[in-house]
Amino acid sequence: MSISQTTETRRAGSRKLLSAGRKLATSLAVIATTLLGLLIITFVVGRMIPADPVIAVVGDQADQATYDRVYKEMGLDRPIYVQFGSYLADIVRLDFGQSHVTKNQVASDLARVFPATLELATLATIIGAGLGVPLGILSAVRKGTWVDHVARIVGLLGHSTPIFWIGTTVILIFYANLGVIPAGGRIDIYNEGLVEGPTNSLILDAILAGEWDVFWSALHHVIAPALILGYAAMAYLSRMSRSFMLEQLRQEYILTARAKGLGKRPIIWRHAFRNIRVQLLTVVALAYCGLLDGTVLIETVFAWPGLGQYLTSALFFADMNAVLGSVLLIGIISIAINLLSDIVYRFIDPRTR
Amino acid sequence: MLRRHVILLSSIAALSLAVPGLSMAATPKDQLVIAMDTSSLRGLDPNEINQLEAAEIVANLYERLVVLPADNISKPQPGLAESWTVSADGKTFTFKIRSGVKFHSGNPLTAKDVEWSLRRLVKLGLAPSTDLRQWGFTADNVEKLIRATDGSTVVLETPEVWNSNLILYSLASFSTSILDSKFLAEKDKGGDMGREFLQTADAGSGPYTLRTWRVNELIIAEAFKDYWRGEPKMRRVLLRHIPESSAQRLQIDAGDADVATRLSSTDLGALETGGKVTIQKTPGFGFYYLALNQKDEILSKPKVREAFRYLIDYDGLAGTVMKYYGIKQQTIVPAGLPGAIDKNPYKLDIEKAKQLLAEAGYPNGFSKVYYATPVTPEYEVAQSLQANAAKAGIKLDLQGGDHIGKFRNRQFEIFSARSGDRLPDPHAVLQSYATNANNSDEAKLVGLNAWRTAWDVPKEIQQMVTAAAHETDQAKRADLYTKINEAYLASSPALVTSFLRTDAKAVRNEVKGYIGHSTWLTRWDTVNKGN
Amino acid sequence: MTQDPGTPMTKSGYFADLHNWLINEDFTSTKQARLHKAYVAWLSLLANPLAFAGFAVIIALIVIAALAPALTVYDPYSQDLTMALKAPSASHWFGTDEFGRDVYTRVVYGARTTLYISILVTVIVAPIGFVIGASAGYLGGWIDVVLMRITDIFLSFPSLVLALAFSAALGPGIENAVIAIALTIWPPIARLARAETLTFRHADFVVAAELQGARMGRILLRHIVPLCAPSIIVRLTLNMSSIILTAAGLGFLGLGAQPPMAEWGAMAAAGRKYLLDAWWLTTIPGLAILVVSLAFNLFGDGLRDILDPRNA
Repeated sequence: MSISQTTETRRAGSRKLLSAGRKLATSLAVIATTLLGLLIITFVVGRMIPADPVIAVVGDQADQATYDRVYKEMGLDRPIYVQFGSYLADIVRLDFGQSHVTKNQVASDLARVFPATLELATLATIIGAGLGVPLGILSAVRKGTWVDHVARIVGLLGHSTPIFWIGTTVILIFYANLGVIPAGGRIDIYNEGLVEGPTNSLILDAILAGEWDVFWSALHHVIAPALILGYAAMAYLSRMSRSFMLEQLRQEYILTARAKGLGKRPIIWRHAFRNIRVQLLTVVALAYCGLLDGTVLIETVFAWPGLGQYLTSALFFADMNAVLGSVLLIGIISIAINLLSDIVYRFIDPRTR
Repeated sequence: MLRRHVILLSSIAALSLAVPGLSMAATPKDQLVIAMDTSSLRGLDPNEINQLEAAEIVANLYERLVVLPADNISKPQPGLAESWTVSADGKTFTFKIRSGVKFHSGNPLTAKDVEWSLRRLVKLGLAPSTDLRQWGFTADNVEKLIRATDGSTVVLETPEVWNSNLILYSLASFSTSILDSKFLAEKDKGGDMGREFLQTADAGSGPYTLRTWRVNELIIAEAFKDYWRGEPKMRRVLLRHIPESSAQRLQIDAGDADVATRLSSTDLGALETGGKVTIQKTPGFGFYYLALNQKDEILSKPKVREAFRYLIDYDGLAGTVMKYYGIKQQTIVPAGLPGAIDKNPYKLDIEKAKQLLAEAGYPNGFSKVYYATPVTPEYEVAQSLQANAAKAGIKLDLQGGDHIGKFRNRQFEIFSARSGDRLPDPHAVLQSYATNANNSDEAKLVGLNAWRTAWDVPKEIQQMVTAAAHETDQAKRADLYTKINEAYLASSPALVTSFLRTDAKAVRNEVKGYIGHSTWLTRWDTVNKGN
Repeated sequence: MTQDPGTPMTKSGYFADLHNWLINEDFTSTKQARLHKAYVAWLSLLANPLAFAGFAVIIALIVIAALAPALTVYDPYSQDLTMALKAPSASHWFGTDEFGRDVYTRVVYGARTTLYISILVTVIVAPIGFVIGASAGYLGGWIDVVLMRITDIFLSFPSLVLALAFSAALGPGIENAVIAIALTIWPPIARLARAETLTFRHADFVVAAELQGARMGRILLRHIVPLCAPSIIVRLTLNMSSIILTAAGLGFLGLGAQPPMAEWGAMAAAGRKYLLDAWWLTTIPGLAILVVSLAFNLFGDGLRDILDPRNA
């Protein structure tokens, strides 16, 4: 592809625009089919969940007449493809439906729980990248030394630790025994309700509103789960950056630069690091996606009212609209992040331009 | 470079140490913090909800005609009804409505609101409507039978004669809360009588108003300044969603919470020893039960049913898992109610069970699928039974999960759970456990445990239960219940009771007036912290 | 790898001969060539202490699982409520749980569950992932598009969420957990198999085989499988750790293994209720998960250096 582009630059001008348009159409179609596939799988899986959504609503004491009525009200008497069809029609109109459990519109629930997860995952990614990338580079530069071994073990440990277990242990030690972290939740209860909106990220909202007590409280609550998640991200990122860096250090230009007598530091940072930026960005994006996974368990442990907890409890109560909405959101995000890293890739890396 | 990381890490640690307002603070004097598991909360419409946590909230947002005091549960006291009379034939109840009561909206509470609310319960026909429908009220007759005769009088006629206590108890239930009909008329959506609005809002006259509800996170209720009994002492009540027992324990121990409602037996035990809190064991009107499906050939043999009664480790569980969650009881009339007897003839006896199984024709045991809900203490009780049954040769394939739907439709072999009824009267329990007017699959009496278990309860027991509900003489009634109790115990029931349910709560010592209510209506307006 | 891989120890007698025979590159038979390869791999494993430690732990796990009854004195299922929640002691090394069962015994028996799940998932996933990926890569065209689209759909779920959804749908139980985990593990394998197949798709020997009229199945089996095997094996080994962690996570959320089966994740979850009074109930199964999953990661890492140096 790159060869043909460089040889026929002139003539390709208009064709390029056309093919860009086609490419866009193709990728939109790809995204749409992926999302549709996601929804179909989720819908089918959701229908197989043994929990009875009607009982979740009416309670187990209800008599048959009540049950039948609510069953109809929830539209469960229609054939499954009709249900799916009408769900799709609603989605197109951006109507995610109502959650049977929370009784709210799923969209408004998601607007509330998702920023909480985003806040946690973002902080974790910052911690993970901030620690993991330098660690990976360090161990690549000092390959084979004790620094490398320690970094490798630290990284592998992060890969191998059950995240719920480390969360539980952290609570046991730092809350129960030492009392230095709160037990869970997003904020101290007395700071509740002082800050509301616009971003639903308590940390940001508190800064915007200048409510420093709330800010500290929110930070205090987020730090333990974010560090744990961040550790998992760090493990992954340090491994990846180590291998990227090693790859670069093997390249000839590094040897040349060394031969020219350039210092170690400038070589690493000005040359090698520049070249792995793009790859790093991609893996950071992947790590960010991966953290959405980790939050499912960590949110349970730290009573963090985020998307993971929302989705889990929706699954247990067969709350289909909530499950579908959450899955759709997660799907869109992971597609968006991949797409974004693709675009940034093209932007930063001159070779692909 | 590594050193820089160490510095960064330690500064993060230091940051979390230096943050002001750490977790060891006590709760403010004018606020009550309750740690709760709110994951099963489904809206707050009094005519729709059906579970304990929601009931406690609704109880404080709304009020009812009749009040049952927590410490004297079977003595109806005036609530929104200043007084009432019962006609000589026992069928007509006339209530005089208290004047000067205001709803949170500012509207005055009138007899019209009472009429509208009670009719709404019956007309919506949702789960808690049993509270009125079981006495013969239907959507068709309720307009005629429940009516406001003037601004301050409500007349309620029952289609049949029932013991008057049953009716009064029902009018004290959360489901018969009085709603602001004028305000809800504005919120009506397509004739839903405000149902959509009430899911996440309130329209009551109770001591508290709902301020914030973030699902599975937090509920904030604020004191209602114009409450007719006077403004409550606690300015705010905060219900925090904390599903974990250990987290609840840590928080109440540290003073971050005043009341903890979902604690495991070990955590309750440790807190009790700690001395900072008082443990309240509120007896409920329900049982931990084991249901043996009578459509199953093996389980329908009386000797097999009897064998199961010897496989429950009553005493072992009572000392450990069930220490705070239940009181050993093998009879059917809840302790403390008329007809209750103190008789527990069964104990764990593997040999006896084996012998009974052999007599029934299963000397080598059998295998069954066993459904139970994976929550404490139900799951522990189930696992204990599973282990004992294994010793007697019965292999129970225990499957945790939400199986209540299958239980309702008779699609199970063995099931165990706990029940909770809300009338402080033997009838509530007995109706579900010991009546089954039509045992056919088509009858679909899915609300009754006996039907679900496909247990054709002996006719004489069923007749006595019905007779007792209609009996107006309290002494005769108590006699009947004693007889029913004995008969049930002797009938090798398909619904084996092992423990009377108690709901345990930990309350910090400085919190006064928070008294667990047996029919789930614990009040917050009586709470103070010694100020 | 052509030089002596650097074993400074002096060998003597039979072993020295064997060593020399194995290390010798002038093969006299295919058998020798194969053994040579295995021996060199073994030597490089020995040379990598971390990978070897992982290998040793895995072997220990297998031995423990196989000899569980011999290594324990208690029954993993028999309850004694009077002995509930006893702290670790000489008679109960890891204490007892809420039913008075010996935690050490249950951890030992839990090794069986862990192995069972991870092996079963691997056995299911390896062929499925390979067949889907290889046929997509080999056939190309719309089959490739469709298969890769399906793969992408599965990949766009976070894997735990997907496993959670599937096992919630299939109901609790260990077999269902295996299926659910398998459903989340196959897409990366398929991706890898496809990429590997593409690199060999137009290789001379494949084209030659095609010209000789070999069928697709035969080509995949005879030519592609051996070439893909190293990277797929490495991937599967590294996957073991995520299988174990996912299984534990499912057990933790109440899906997966059902009582009274001893499963580390479920044990840790059950112990969380007694966290403050009985730290050993969550700590010890958690450590077991950690050690085994770390071992698979270390071993997989080392294996990659040996088998699949391209991707190291």
